[in-house]
Amino acid sequence: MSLPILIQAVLTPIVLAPIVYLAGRRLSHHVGWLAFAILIHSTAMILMVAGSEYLEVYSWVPRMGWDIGFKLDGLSLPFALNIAVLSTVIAVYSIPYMEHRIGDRPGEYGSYYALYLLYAAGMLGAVLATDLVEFYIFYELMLIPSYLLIARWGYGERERIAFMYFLWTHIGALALLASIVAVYWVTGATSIEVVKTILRNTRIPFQLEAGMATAMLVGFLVKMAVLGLHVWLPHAHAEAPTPISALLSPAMIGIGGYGVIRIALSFFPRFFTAYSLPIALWAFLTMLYGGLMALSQDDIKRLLAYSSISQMGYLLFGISSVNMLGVSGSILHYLSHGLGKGILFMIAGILIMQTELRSISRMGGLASKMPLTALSTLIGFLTLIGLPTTSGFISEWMIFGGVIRSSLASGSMDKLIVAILGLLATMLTAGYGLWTVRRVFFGSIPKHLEEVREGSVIALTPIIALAILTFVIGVYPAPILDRLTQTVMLSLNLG
Amino acid sequence: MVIWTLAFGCCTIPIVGWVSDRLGLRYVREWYSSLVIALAFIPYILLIRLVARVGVVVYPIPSLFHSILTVDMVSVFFILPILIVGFASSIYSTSYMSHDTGLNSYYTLLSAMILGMIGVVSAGDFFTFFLFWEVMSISSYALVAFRKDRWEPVEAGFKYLVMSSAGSALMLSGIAIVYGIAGTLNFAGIALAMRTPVLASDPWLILAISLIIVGLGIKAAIAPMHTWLPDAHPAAPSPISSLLSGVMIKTGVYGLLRFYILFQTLHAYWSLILSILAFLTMFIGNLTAMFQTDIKRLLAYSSIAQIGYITFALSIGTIQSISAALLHVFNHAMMKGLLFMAAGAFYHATGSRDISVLEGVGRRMKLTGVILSIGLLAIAGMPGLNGFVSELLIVSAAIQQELYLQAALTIINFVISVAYYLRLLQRIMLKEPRSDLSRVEEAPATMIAGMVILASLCVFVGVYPSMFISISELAGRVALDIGSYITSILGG
Repeated sequence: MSLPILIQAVLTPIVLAPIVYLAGRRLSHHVGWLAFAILIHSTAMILMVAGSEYLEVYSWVPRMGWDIGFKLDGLSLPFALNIAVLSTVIAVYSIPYMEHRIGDRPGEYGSYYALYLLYAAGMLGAVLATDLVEFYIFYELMLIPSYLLIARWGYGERERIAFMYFLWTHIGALALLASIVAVYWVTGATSIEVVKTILRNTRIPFQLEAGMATAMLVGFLVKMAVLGLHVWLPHAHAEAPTPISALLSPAMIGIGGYGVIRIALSFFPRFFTAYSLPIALWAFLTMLYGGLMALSQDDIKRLLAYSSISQMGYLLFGISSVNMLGVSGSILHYLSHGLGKGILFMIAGILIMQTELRSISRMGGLASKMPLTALSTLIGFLTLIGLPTTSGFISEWMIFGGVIRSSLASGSMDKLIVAILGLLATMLTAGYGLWTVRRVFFGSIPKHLEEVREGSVIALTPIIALAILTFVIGVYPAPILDRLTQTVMLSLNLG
Repeated sequence: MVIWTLAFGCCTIPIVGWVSDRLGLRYVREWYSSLVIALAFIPYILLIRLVARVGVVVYPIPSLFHSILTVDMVSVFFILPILIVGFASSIYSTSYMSHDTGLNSYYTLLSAMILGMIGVVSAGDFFTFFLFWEVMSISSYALVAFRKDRWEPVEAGFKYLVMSSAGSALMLSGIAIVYGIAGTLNFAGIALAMRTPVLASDPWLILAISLIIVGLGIKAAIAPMHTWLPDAHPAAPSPISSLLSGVMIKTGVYGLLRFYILFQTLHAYWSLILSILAFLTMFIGNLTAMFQTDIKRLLAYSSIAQIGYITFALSIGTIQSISAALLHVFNHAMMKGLLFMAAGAFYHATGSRDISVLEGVGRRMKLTGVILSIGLLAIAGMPGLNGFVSELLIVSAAIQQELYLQAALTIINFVISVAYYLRLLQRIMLKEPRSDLSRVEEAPATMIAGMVILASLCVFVGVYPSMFISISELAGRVALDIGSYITSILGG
């Protein structure tokens, strides 16, 4: 008998959300610590079973064959860990930030943290799900709270932006749903493992397979915001309350990538092999577009948002290789992007709190005033750039290694060219990253910033925790990487 | 028997009301009405057990045309939302209608309408069907126009009356032709007659069916016969709106389902007409709903769209699709009943149905706002709530029959509908309240109670759909099994 461990990790935040809401009336902004405790519990539950492959299945609608299952294996571990850690530390970070955003309307803290918990639980559930319908439910569960969080506590035209965000993602999700239903009628099952086995062992017409894979891919790529499906992202990420941006971008959009790998790629490997080149090209264009747009931004949050689009291009690039190296690299890149971008969005929040500014051109010379912030920013960008000893180096190395290997294996010259162009595009990351650090933290201090002080300890602690983690994973990736590559090899049958 | 309980209620409510008025007791009549509907659950549960045991229960009614009531799984499935929404709206009415006059007739008509609906779904022949159909229709005309001192309800009620009775007349002529062909009004008898090729290929039958589709379609508000609904549903008092939109239009769907199966040989014809009308209905309902400024009108158009989904599922005609349609009937009854009640609570508190006036009211009336959000998210098909389950099953049934285009069109409609549900949610719940809402207070307890019943069912079915899926699948199976329907009514 399996002990209910993972279900605790996912359901505890959901069940306790109303209690957090009620407690918010009494505790005001201190209720953030309660949310933090709940998420610590979830993280602990995940760490408890992180040692080996772990599976829990509960019967839900036996008539339709729908189960509720939670599975932690080498593939879902990096995702679950990233989501759990980020949502835990950002819960702490939210305390000073939301105090700054909400101010003295104590009634609202409860609703913020209740929605925050639901959002975190939705993401966790999605990456642990073992059943397609269950996956879809969690996939949508992360949408609704995040929509409300943006619409309620965002900036600018927050309601319109939240609305756009919801519609884009929901349309993608419906395409995914259509594909899930089609898969169900082809295979008669909704369990991911069972469907995978059946699809592997039956020859279905390629046209049908391509149709299902395309619908599914659209569903996931909207979430990943690759070029053409990215319209919602710069707005949503820039105008969301900053802790939520720090979850949206590093944790949530990558779940699209998880879906592509866990579901689409494992169901339809033939499709991915056949369309490897167009997907790689698409990914390259996303990298290029995101990087170029990031270079031209003045609003720091928009810059980070475009950088996320570009980084999702890397994820897709790795997937397009359809081999073990590239796909594992993508997954690891999700983790390193999550850490790096988590740091950077939180820093953007600190800048907003301390200077009330988002415009980079009005900042400058802040390194002397906020040394720790400056250092962390540098670490964040270096992770994205892929400096050796940060986790970004290993993941990018694996992604490009994977793509080049697959192009050599298939003898495709075009793909090799795309891979080399992709490598060159990484310079864009270095460009906008280091340039931003220079513009914000060095040079002369403008007059209106002379009174600025370093961010509060509570806000800086989560950032430093993440910065340390990037180095830990960068220097000693083995515990995660070994199991990851093994699972990718075994469960996806990739060499 | 459920009907006798309600009929007893109909007869006694005016007396109780009159007596309590004389004695100066408040709310006796209101609670008595709710009690009667609640008591109807007891025979209902006995009925379920009986139906589960014997399949089809037949009650003869001594009258001219050998009238019978036949209750099978499908009828039982339809009675459930009627009773639940009926009970919830009766409780809700207690405070919603408390400032009105003529409440004796209000509660009498309310239970007469519920009685009529239950009669319609348990009729075993066309005569009984039509009889209860008219009981239901007439009481609903009166209820729509209940606030007769204002022009809007009177106009809407009159429009509804004209259209609906035209529909009834058309349906009656259709029934007459069927009687002429089959020589019987009994459903099972007609189904048996349709097995004779000579009768089934009679060209008059096409006319008869068209007339019946129009008659039923008017009640079910299938486009282009839907025009009465957006006037009548908003104009009626809110508990009545939720009964009208939640369950009454579903009696039209019930009729379509029943007769669809009776005239088996004409399935291709039915399917084509129904699926064309279904998509017309969906698109008209959804696209028009986007431009509404009146919250109840928006909900009314959304009901039209939802009827489109149900009709589409019916038109597919497989066990999966019929059970999906049935489940959606139940789910929509809960969601739409809930939404109309929440809209009514806002109207009760602010005196306005204009969405721009209601902006931000959800922040003043937190509980009603949360309940409204549950309803809106459910009807928008968010997973974890009931609407998702049945919408998924409808699309699933379409894809199973390889109707990819239709499935895609349905999904497009889901997207359109999400747009306006979400915008409504945003405007009611998230916008800053206007200053003139500062004196708005939370809805009274009985109104909340009525809504909570439905909201908890929305959540329950969403989280634990297993039981309801099984029941609807059973009902779908029974509905399509015309052979054993005939045998169990007519014998061998």
